[in-house]
Amino acid sequence: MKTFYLMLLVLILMLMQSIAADRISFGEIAPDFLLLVVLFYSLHRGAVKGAFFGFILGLAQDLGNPTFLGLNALLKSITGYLMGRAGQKMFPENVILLFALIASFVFGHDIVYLIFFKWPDLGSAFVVVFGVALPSAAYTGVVGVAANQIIRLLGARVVRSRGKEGQ
Amino acid sequence: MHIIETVFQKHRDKTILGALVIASLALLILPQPAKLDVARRALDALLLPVERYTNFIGDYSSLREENTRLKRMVMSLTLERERLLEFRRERERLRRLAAFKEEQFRTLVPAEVVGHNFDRFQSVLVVDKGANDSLRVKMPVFTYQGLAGRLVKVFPNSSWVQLLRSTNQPVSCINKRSRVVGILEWRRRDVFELTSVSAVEDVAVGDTLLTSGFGGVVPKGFPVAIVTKVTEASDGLTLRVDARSPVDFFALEEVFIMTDEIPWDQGIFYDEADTALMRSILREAP
Repeated sequence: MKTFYLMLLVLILMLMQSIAADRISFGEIAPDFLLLVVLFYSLHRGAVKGAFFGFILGLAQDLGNPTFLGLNALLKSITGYLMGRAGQKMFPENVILLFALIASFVFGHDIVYLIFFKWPDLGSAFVVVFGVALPSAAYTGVVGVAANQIIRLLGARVVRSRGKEGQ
Repeated sequence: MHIIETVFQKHRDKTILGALVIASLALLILPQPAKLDVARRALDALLLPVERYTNFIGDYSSLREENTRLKRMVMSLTLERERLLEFRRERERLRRLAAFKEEQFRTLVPAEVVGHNFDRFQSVLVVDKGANDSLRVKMPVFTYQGLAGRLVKVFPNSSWVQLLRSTNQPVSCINKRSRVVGILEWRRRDVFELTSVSAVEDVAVGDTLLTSGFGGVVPKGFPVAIVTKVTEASDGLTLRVDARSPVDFFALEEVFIMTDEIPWDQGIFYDEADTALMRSILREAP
């Protein structure tokens, strides 16, 4: 059931990235569904699998923009690893904790990404970090918590209905 | 080696992360053209099957519409093609007719075939020219391939042409090569027979038989038939000569009727009586 739940979540978030990300954005502030996928995957599967998954997904993302080939792979594999480690220590059942965890990882990811991306013009990177990356991280955290709750509710309903069938 | 294994076992997570980081950094420090090349190759390898699949789905959805459109196009082009082929055949025919007409110094009245009647014994065409065009009975009818027949009935605006491919329609012919004279008569289907040819005469397969001009009805020198078979007749005195007319009697659409240079009121187009007369003359000849 856990695998089913995870795969469903991953699938929905990837679909959301391609279908809904632009539509629910506020200017430049938009949720990063792909990073959410990596974070949830790592949270449930651990650091090593999370790092691998992050690397693969990041590399796939880099292929679309090969100017910084390897950057997304690097950042997402590290993010996946760290989220996996965090999940091993304490699984965030609490909604606020989950939000904080997602938002902070997204924010950290974006900061490093912007440093690479804007180097050596770090002044403009600073503006973007607080003008775009921070609200985007918060937005992603909200979306992540919402997605997690929806999927858990659906999963619980499936479990209940199967349980009744079993009786 | 043991140390490496121990380190890997103890710090498995960090080792894997390190490898991934090194791989990522290696990609990052690649020169720009190499990055583009790697990305292009990877995308080609990854997306080609997906693209093929999505293209197939896209193609399939529009297949029915395209099929209908193509069927309509094929139908239209088929009809157009048939029409063009018809035009081409008509053009070729008219070109040959024009060439034939230019070669003649006699007056030829072109006529279009408007009807026909083929039975086991005779073949009659109806043409769209008649007495109003100065046509009269017994006038010879030609195609660009040679003699086709003669007029047997003339109405004010149409005429009947009895083709050579009829019984009782003999023609006096001369062999173009050896100048042997005989009477050509239709036997069956596309087989004609040159009769009254002595066994000692020189007739060979492939010889062309021309109108002899005897009788004054049909001018001399027009092709009538080609010899296809030569055998000795059962009486041992004559040759049995089979011939084939170059005229395609079943596909005639335009013909020419020769009007001048012939004394029509005196003219004799060989009939049964003339054939008998010719035979008697040939028998009496030494």
